[in-house]
Amino acid sequence: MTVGGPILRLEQLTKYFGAFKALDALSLEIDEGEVFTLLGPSGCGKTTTLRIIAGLEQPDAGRIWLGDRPIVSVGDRINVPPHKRNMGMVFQSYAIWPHKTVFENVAYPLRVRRVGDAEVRRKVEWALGLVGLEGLAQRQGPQLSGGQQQRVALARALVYEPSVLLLDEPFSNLDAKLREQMRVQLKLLLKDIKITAVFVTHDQVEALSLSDRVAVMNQGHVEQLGAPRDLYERPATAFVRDFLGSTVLLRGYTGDGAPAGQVAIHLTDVPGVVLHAATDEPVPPAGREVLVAVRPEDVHVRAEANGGGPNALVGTLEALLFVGDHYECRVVLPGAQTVFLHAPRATRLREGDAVHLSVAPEAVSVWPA
Amino acid sequence: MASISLPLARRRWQLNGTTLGYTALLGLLALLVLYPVVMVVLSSFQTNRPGQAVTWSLDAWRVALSDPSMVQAVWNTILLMLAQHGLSLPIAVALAWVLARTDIPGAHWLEFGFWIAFFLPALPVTLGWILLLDPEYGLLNQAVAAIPFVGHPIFNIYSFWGIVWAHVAHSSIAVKVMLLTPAFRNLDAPLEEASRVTGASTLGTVWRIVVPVMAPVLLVVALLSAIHSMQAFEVEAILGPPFQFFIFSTKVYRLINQEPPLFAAATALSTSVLVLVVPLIFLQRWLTTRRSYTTVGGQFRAAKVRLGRGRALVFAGVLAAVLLTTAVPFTFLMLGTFMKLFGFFNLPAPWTTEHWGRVFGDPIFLTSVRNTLAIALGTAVVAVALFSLIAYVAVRTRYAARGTLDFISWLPSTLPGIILGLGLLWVFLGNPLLRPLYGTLAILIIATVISTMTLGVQIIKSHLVQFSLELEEAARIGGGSWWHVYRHVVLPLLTPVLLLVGAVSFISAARNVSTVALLATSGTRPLSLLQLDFMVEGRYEAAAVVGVIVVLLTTGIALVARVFGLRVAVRD
Repeated sequence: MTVGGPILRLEQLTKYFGAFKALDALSLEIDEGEVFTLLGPSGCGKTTTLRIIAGLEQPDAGRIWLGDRPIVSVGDRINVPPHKRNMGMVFQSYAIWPHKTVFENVAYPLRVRRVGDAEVRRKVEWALGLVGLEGLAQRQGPQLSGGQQQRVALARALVYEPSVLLLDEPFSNLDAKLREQMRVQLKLLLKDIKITAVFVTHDQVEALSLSDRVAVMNQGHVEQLGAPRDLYERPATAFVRDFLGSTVLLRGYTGDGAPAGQVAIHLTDVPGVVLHAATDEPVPPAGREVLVAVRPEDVHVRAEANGGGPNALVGTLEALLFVGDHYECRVVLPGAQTVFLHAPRATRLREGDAVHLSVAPEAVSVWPA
Repeated sequence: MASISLPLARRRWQLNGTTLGYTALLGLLALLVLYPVVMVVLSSFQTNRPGQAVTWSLDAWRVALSDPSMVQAVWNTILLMLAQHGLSLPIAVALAWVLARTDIPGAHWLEFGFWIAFFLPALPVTLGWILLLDPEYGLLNQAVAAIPFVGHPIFNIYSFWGIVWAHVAHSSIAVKVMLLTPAFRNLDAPLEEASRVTGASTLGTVWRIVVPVMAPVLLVVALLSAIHSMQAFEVEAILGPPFQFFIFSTKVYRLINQEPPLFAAATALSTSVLVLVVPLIFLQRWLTTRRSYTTVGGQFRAAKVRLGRGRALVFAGVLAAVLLTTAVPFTFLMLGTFMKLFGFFNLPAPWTTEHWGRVFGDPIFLTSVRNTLAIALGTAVVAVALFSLIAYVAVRTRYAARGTLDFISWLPSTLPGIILGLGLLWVFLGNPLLRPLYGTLAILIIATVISTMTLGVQIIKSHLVQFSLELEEAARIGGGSWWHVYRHVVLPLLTPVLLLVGAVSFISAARNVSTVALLATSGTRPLSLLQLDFMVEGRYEAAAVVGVIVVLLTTGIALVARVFGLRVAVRD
């Protein structure tokens, strides 16, 4: 994959809605050709950021550069209106104009640019072919299903080959099955036409699966920016760790006796159990209170013992919930603390049994208490 | 459904008691609304006066269809309607879009201004405009005549376009702005934003996307306005006769008020207008029941379009429109009450307060004040009681004919006031049992109740559907009788809405001219008619005083009622 230099630069964007600070001096660089995602809970400012990039909202402070051209600069009173930014946008509700056919919806950006009829036809056919809607050109907007509307919206946003494609929660109006299909198709399509895309979602699975880079946002600023896998495996803040996937959190304090590159944690609420956690950082002095975090799917849950040593403990399987592709288990640890873990579908566990848990040191991370 | 599980005894009780009650209500409503209309149609085939022995004849129709002035009156009605709405609809669309979708400063207050304009009675406003646009002494005309190269007055309120202006600058724009602004506000904002992002300018988006998407709504508003303008009477009654211009309502009024009164011709003219209105009624019913494809969004708060440098200019334009429909005519109406001779600003000492003293000392005026208050209060009381019953039966019961009930309660909005008045006149003079009521305030109250029925019932209905049915069911399972539940559960829940409907009915009755014009006698004449009569007699200064009082009485109540959330009233 070839990625060029930054095509969009956001500098110190601040936006208030009344007294509410939606964006707090947000800065980002988005590279040409990448799929960049703004991920966060509702109210974190991700949609506001996207709408400011599109020109639909005006920031109270800050600048935006498109290539080497400033399109927003509050200090210099520059604010290029949306129709002069040459961006494409797919709205959450798709915004298919009900009074126009599919063809005319997609042709609209070309018509306002006064493109000739023959060229319009050629380009609309190309765009509809891209999203696989060749046969539906003459349908009216309201006659389309949700998935078709999304594809029309995508074709309409791509037909004039904009410099940046903006996608605002494009899957949130689709049912779960269709969402998975469209996710794969969109990923292939974006790579195929090599367009820069800025994508907004609150769904971590969408963000992680579609993006080259993800910015996790919280309360108007970026918590962490990075490749999806890095974010998931090495979250920098507690917010990112808890927002991306679920976590088992246990209280503990540091101790001695771990091999080099690892730190030993004595669990406060599980008497006698020591966990070793891999760490790149200098080992903290003994006796410091910490939290250890483990992804549930990284804990092996077995009926029989597996050696012993550190990072192994025994609990009681209180409840076993079959959820389709795996089991979810509620395990009571010695000391009465309960944790939620995953077990493979092939397991032979039964409720009430003793279970043996183990976790690799690389899967254990240590956080300040 | 709940009724299936009810014990048999309960069902029989419902059949005997409640259903009978509902049917009595339906009968009363049919008597109030349909009977007068039927009488108008039937009597157009008679030559006798109301109450005399019936003689069937086609004479009236022969006259109506051959008399060019009759045909002309109908034609004038249509022309006036087309000119008025052709002008006001585009203006109203622009105003509503600006108010709903842009960052114009003070949008809320500007919208409130149009709301005031809607409540201003037509006659006082017209009087204000006469002061400005009279062909001889009109202030604006004098100003224009003072401009070099013009040198002579160019406006004339006593003309076709003068009448169009009086309507456009009064309620024609205001009503549409009030109906369209919420509709524009509810339009899914991304439909507009998608167009702007893909390359269309703000104005291009309004023209290519907003107006086409809103087309069904615009059509309904246009039709509503057209039907509403069939109510026109008082503006034409003042401005039309000086240049021999009549629309059907003023023509009917003249036919009845001449000696001898031509009842048959008036009813034939009215019937032919009813025939014209019927297709509009069905078209409007069809359009409003069809699913319109305007999508209501609201996942994200709609950002307002930035007007940028044009903001001040747009604000000035909208403010001018608000002032032209409210403050300007009212200011000149007020000035008129203090003038020695209405309109003559160049007298040596033009100002005086004697008209106020004279009017307030006039026993005729005091009688009219009493009449107006009695009619308006009576209407408010009857309206609240009757409309809440109708709305309740239409929305909350399984009464078989509730659809018919609903439809009949909706009809009066489509009935031109003068025709309703004519029908009631025929009913009350023609029926020996009802004749004693003629000449009393009761007949006027009945007339104004009917004319405000549609709006009142719609308001209560829209609130009733929001209440959970379980509130009532709980009371009924607890053992309350129908009447007990209605009185102790339904009515208290509806109290704010009923206050609102009472206020709306009060205002509507206090400003009504067209419905009561044929029914009032010298003893029962309300203020609105007194003003009309003063104007016809040429006593413009006294008319202006009465006009100011009517404005304060109606707009004042409207402002008080706004505290109770009168804004909902404008949605239907």
